[in-house]
Amino acid sequence: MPEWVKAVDETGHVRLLSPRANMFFGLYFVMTGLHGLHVVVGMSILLWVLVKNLQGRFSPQYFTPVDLGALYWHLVDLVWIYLFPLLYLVGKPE
Amino acid sequence: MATNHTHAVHPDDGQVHAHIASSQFYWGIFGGLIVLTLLTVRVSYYDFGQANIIIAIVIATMKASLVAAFFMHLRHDSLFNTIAFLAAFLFLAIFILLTYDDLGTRARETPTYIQSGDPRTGEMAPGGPPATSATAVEVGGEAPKQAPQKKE
Repeated sequence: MPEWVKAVDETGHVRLLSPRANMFFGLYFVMTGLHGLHVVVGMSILLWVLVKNLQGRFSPQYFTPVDLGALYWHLVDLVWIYLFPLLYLVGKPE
Repeated sequence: MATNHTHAVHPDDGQVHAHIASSQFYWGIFGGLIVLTLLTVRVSYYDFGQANIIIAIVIATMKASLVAAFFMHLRHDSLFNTIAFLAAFLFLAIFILLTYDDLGTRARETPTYIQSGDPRTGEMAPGGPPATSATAVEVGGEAPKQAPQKKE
């Protein structure tokens, strides 16, 4: 059960976060953190593909890593397409 | 068999097939994604009440369809791949939306739920009365400790 939590804001004041705000930030940091992890993995894969491509390892006969790397990247992409409006746009104050 | 032979087109033979489209085409899709992103940001400045989240998800689904159909080549794959893909996304949607729904139907937030105070002086920040024990009971939490009010 979420509870009231104390948090220090940027001016050094202690603020009480409501259970609802507590839940929102729990969801927010899990979602963005997990997504950030996937982005780092995706960037590593694309970097590896770039290096291999510069070495001339891919050809019209063999390009599976390029295809799969791009597929993974777009899957991560899809997650952010939904997370961005849900976390940042819906329910924001005026 | 050292000769190159052309494969007949199979609906799904487990092989990765190339679908080459012009880069101009991909830039076009990219442009569409940018336009839809600007639209979803623009629309968020208007308050449609409960429809806000529906509108956001509809626009997001339009963007996701563009990415899946063209960037991920589902347009050129067999229908089975699309179904498998949608099934995976269905479960992701359950994962995210049910949690989000929990957030929305838990305690309704009122301005009194957030109260700032300086622990050194006990001075309360402007912006509304302190939360009362009544509001805390309402959400099943503990009553926030009320700092002593400053004498005038």
